[in-house]
Amino acid sequence: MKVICNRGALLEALTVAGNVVAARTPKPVLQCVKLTAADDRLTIAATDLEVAIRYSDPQVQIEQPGEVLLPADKFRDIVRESIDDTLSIEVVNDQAHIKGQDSHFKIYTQAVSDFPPVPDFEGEPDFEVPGGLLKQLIGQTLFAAARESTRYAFNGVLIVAKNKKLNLVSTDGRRLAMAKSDLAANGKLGKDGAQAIVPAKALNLVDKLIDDPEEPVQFQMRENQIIFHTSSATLTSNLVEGQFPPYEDVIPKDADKTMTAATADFLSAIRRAALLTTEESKGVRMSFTKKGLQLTSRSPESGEAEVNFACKFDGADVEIGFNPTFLTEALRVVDSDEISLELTAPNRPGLLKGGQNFLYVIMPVNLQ
Amino acid sequence: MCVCRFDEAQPAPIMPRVSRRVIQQLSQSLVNRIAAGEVIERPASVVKELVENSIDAGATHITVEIEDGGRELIRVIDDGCGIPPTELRLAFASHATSKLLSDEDLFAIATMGFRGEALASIGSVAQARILSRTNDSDAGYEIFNRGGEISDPQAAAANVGTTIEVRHLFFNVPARRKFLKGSPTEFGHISEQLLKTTLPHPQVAFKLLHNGRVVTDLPATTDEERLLAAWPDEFREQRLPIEVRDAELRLSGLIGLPELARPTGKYQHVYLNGRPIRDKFIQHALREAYRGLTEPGRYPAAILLLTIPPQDVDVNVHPTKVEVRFRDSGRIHGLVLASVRERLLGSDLTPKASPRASDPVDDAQRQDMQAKLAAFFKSAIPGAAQTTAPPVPSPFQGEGKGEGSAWQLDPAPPVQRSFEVSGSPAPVVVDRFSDDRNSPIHASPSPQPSPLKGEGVNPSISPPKSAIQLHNSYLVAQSDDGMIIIDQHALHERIMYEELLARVQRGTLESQRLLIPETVQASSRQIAMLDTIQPLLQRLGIEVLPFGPNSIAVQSFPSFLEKLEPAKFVQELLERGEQELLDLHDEEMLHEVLDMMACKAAVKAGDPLTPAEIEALLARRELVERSSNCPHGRPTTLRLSLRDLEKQFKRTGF
Repeated sequence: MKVICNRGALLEALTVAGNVVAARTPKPVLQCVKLTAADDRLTIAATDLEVAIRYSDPQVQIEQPGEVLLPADKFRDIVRESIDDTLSIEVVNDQAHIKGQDSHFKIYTQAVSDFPPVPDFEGEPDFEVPGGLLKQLIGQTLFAAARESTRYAFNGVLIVAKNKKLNLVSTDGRRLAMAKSDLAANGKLGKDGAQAIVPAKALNLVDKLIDDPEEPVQFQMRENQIIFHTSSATLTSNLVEGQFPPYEDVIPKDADKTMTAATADFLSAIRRAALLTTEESKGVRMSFTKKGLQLTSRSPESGEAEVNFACKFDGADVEIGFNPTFLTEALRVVDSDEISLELTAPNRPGLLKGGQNFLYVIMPVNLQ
Repeated sequence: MCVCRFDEAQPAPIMPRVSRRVIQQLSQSLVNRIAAGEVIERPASVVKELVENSIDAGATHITVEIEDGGRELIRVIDDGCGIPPTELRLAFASHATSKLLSDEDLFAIATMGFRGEALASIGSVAQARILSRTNDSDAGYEIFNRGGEISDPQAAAANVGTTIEVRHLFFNVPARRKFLKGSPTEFGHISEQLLKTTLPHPQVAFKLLHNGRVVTDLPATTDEERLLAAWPDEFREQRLPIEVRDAELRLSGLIGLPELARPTGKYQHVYLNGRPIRDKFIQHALREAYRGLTEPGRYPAAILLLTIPPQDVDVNVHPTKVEVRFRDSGRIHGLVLASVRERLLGSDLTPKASPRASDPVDDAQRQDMQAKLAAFFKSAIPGAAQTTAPPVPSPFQGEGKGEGSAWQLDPAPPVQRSFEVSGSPAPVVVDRFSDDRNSPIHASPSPQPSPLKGEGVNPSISPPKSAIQLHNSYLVAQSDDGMIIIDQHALHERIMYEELLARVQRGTLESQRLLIPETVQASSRQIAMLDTIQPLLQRLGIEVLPFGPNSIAVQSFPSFLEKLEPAKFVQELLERGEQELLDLHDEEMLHEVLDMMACKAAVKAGDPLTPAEIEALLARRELVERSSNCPHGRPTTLRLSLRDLEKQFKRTGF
């Protein structure tokens, strides 16, 4: 194999692929990237056996096609530190020679046959979504997923494609976020549609892969895998096993009290009221009346905070406690200027709505 | 109905026959052999019974001679009151004893034995000989018992006192004989058993011989010196003498510093009126007294001698009398708990940082000692450490290098470490036991801090203002007399624990309701337990409801524990509750749960801390009680004095 690469494009490809390379693994081969030079492009493949990526870099000149397995870290460091516009990579026997104008690196390669297969995108997509929209859906849900729950389904985001709708849902058991969107066409999906729980790591990577909001991202959903495809990359992820909780059941439908407010103002009021919360008393007390909303927090060690927030409130007076972090995280991803917060009782969930397409269910805190 | 059998010569069918067997009275020798099965388990049991008899006979010197681990011969020679020839035959009869005269005596037993079973049992499973001479007699008499055939007493030459020989133990019970372990193992048990029996009788001198060689020689001595025979040699200084008495009860003995706690109870000995016992109330009281000072599942080292009026205890509940029933167990529990706790609170428990093993002087001395003793130990108890016997407290199995050194061979005083005594700031360090038995608590050279305050906070350390963090895990700070090293997790855990405790006492903890309740598999016993602990859980902000026949659902969980998984936490809680039924009492349960919470919420080893955080941590250290140990009992702080440093750098004389 012999190729001449544009260093900048190669570095970008390696950086993206590097997100997948396993950091600690008993299998050293998983710390490598596989380069394939063929069809006028250099394909960089990496996998940690959960998520796999193929990234193609067209800014190469192939003098001799072939493939090679290189240690991801060392190779990326060489490309990053080099000062040349182009680098040449030539593989002779089991050594790769990376040459710049004044430099020559010789890296020992590993057997390509040891590398697990990294699937390519083949056939027709099930459906596709504009990159910008997908980015927004991910942003509005990923934050609410659990990180290391033993209820594995909570560590991912549920993707439901059905009836020309694409919804993403996530929960950590204390709050639940749901972002909805329309699909231009149902694509190849059957009547029942498709759904899958995608690991947070994969969605994070998809988010990074999207450069151009107009460019479509294609989906293929298999029994235990989901494949995302953009013009430059294909990302395959295993699905999270487990049952996603019946999320539709926990969305309150009987709320009889509603507050409406400007998103930014509500966010600011909560942030100020939260300033005197502590680790052990996180909750902010919210007292809703016709006059508006009074937010208070108190910690035995530090002191007390009180914010009187003017807002519209319909319904009977109610006093309820919320973890302010849960509210601010949601308010930051709302894409509408106004939100509503629907309530029932102090021990029942609140429902935050931002525009038509964002729902957020949040459980209250029992204050002392 | 199945009849127990000892003899394999007449194998009984495994399946019961259909034809009915006749019910008949068992022969006396069979009765005795069945009884022997309960009392005489192995040679060590014989030694125990005989030595106890000797002690009851008022002996001042007792010699135990063993051959081939007791399989061949067990001979116990005492200088007690002896048995007159007229009573010799009765000695081998079952339910014959000199220790009980009337019915009432059974409820006020002051002797070690009382049932009159031991000699009859031994005689029925071995070839026994009693040779005895009373004080007022010119001649001794001997009598033989060969597996139940008792000879007539005959005159024989003897010293005053009694000699009992037991040969060929279990010669007529091949099944038992087969189960005996090798000679070293059995001797190990004997030696251990003898030590256990002798500890509360310092006034009696003991000698133990194996195959003609003296293995152990314990001269008559003081209480404390005798107890040290079972105290691990390398931890002589980590001990606190204890002595409390009121009109009726007396509690004395040694308790170890928390760092001495071990995963097994081998350094825990409890004696009631001179008899080793196992009592879960006392064990519990000890555990409670050390709560928060030792790691969970560890047994604090302690030798407790409890003396109570004989009528307040029923020792007639267990064949070998290791279990007893107290008339007022709460009072005993309270006495042990209060005395031990008070002793601990009044002492500085911060362990020293300098490891003994690295002290060259100590090492040389120890090696010297060890070389001298090694030969004895090798011959005495080589197999003791490998036995598969149940984990009875074994004073013979030392820790690491000091293997076996707990058994004090030499009556000479222990290795003296005077430089440490005079130089160490730890007020509990005492050189040797003070002989002043009226105030052993004050044996320590410096005055006791009041037990009500200053516990764990070393008065000689003024609060350090800043510290260096090492490896994101430890904090090192200067103190008045050197330096302290703090385990950041352990200290933070202790602080969180105390603060949570204060918080819970003010009101319920703030809790986050769960949108999707977490379900936990639970046994029906655990679900039943929920009712008991529900009020406590509510105070802690945990709401748990039964959810179907074998699961429960967590509905809300303290918000400051948001990083934890409610289900896992509750499951762990229920499992712990299930295992330790005693600790379901509100206060203890609260402590346990707060332990768990504090541990999980505290900074971990590996978490980098900012200077401000370090400062806050150090400042809070001073405000918190018991800051010397984390709630699990591990130390939070180690101390390295300037003296220690000078010693290590060879700047001082040694």
